[in-house]
Amino acid sequence: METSQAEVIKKCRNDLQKERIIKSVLCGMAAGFAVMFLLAFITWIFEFKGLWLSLGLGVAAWIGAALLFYFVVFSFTDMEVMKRIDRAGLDERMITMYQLRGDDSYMARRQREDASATFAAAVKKSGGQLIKTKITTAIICAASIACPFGAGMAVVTALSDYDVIPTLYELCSDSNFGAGSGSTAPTYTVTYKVSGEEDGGLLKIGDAEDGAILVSSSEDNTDKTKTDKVEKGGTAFAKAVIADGYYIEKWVDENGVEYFPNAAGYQPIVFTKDNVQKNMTVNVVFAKYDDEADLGYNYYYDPDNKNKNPDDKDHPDDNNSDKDGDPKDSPIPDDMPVPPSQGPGGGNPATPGNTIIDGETQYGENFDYFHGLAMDMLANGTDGYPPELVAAVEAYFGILL
Amino acid sequence: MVTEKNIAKFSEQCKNIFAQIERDVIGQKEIVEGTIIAMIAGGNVLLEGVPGVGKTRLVRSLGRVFSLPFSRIQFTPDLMPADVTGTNIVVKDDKGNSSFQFQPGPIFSNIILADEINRATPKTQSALLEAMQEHTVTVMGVSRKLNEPFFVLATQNPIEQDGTYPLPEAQMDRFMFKLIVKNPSLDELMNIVSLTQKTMAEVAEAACNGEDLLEMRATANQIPVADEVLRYAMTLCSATHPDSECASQAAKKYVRLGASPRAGQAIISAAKVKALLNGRFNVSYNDINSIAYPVLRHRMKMNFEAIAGRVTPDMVIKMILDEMATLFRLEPTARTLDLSENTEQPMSAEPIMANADGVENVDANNEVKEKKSKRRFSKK
Repeated sequence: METSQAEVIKKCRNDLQKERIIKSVLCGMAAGFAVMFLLAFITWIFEFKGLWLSLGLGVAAWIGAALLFYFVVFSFTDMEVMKRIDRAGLDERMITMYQLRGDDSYMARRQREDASATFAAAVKKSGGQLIKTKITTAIICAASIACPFGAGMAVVTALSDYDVIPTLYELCSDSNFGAGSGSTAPTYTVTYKVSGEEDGGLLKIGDAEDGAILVSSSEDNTDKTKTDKVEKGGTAFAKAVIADGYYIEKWVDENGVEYFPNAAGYQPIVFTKDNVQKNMTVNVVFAKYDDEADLGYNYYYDPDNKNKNPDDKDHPDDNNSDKDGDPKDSPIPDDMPVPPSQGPGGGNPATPGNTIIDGETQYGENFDYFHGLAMDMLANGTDGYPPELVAAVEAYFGILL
Repeated sequence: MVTEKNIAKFSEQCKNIFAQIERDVIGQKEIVEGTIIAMIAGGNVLLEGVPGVGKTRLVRSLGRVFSLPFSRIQFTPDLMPADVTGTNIVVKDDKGNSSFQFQPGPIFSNIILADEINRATPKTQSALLEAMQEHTVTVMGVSRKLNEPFFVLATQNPIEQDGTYPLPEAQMDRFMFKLIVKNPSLDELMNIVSLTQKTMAEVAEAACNGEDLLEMRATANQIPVADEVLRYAMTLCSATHPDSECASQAAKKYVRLGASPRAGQAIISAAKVKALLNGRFNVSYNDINSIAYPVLRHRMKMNFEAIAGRVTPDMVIKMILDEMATLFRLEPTARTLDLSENTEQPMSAEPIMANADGVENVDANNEVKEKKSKRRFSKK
């Protein structure tokens, strides 16, 4: 083969090499952005911050796929270079010439001469550019589709990672959209916050029980805030579990409205709010007993409403959210026996506030027992208990059983 | 051993052959070229056309141009095999002794025109089988070799199928080409009438002889075929079979029986001749594509779906070629380069010229004009 011919063929090989690189990059780009799209979409669905993961793996897939295409799919041999040259109108002269390159017969030599002459004419006609870079439509389409989809999905993931837009999971379950599975009504958040005297002790918010949120005070402090989801128009319901030495002073929302579900004057351990129409925050205020001042007195009964907010407009009345009724109405039955002024338990005068059910025993000795009764009734119902006892416990503790 | 002299002689003789044929046969360039290619390649041709389009005239002209004895056999339903091959007759010598003497039939010639071959009975048709393939005739157990070169050009009428006997597949397979002779165009018709009004005599002169034809055949046979092109040709043949590994979708849908291995041999032999006619010393994909139609159209049996849907063999061949182009990633046929300037031809061999459309024309200054790339043998 003449030198000039060899040079031209070398140039053709270089042109094919360039085409190979471009095709590999484009195919790798399509693969990489496809991976990026998939990962970004998945992380966007499942509330996982996957922006950098999808970007990193997308770029890695781009590089890996490009290398794979370069070395495996788009690799070419000398014969394929000749085939490509033949496409310039040489009628398979070059591949025949390449195949007969070791043959010294007359016809082989004659064919080589014919191929060389035609090749020279072709080079002259094409101005030295025998091979034109050709990228198939399929590759261009694949890259054109994958790149914007991948980049777009990465942007969406970035925005959701930085909480600019919600994730798909949030979109589906958000009450404002109401598009979550099985949820057709919007929901509101009722937040319970525990505050009050801690005195070195710790306040605990427990788990929901009987559909209510338990808030309690104990020595183990885990959290002072608990949230509950209530459907629009539904009822928020919380119960208090009070540790020894503490009592509930009041339930009050962020606007200062205090909530008492039943008898006025009794700080309840139950909170209810009907017809919830907005997000709300309820503070449950605990207070610690002063052994001498608070023990047995005005624990739950405050006939003069000494501890009540004078501006409070809530009144106890069945389970409505706002309280109505005379705060001075006493739930204690009229036939409740009046304890003796002095009981066996202590020096304090016996009053309805510090006497227990039987009217004789001071609560200080049996408070825990009857407190336990009340808790049992709250937890398991009043079956098995005499109605009078149930009524008395209700009145005493200011709860509704 | 092919030499430069052979190449030059091939070029010169082909030029003369086409020129002489053109003096007797007006138009029908594709038919003329196909017939000459088949003759050089050593194959037989089946011409199908309505009466009066010049089939017989063509064959007679070929006989004169090649300086070969020409024999015409008119096939009729009552034609017997012995009428074709010859038979032993009883001959008395001077002493009155009787003996059998073989009287050769009209088949003992170089160029045979089997006119309306489908009118003869299958038994008579099969008398040609041995002659067409092996170039021998066996009569009474004695095989006799036919003269070389031996060439059968058969004709049949596509109309008037009543009372005819379709050629069996075995015999159809022995024809290298099946060429469809169309009616001449208006200009050609005017030329025909003008010419024949002056004289009906055939004026073509001898351009070569039998030995020259054999030499041309040997020269063309030396044209190399690249492995890729050979694979393409064989894949094409295999693609016509609906149950082969290379079966095309069109074959699976429309073909009952595909082409035999003889088709592959015919394609390569004819493509080599065609390449050399075009002044090229290698076979190209375009050569294969243009040869495909005359080689394959009579070797494929269509199924009922094709018959019911009026799908012709040529349509199926086109579908197969399109599938092949996709399979081999061939681009639409590129125009052959215009070598009109600065063509460096190291040897004196000239591209063969012919007046048929699509073939390179060489003018006095050895400048090759651009060739149109289209299928050489048009389909129905």
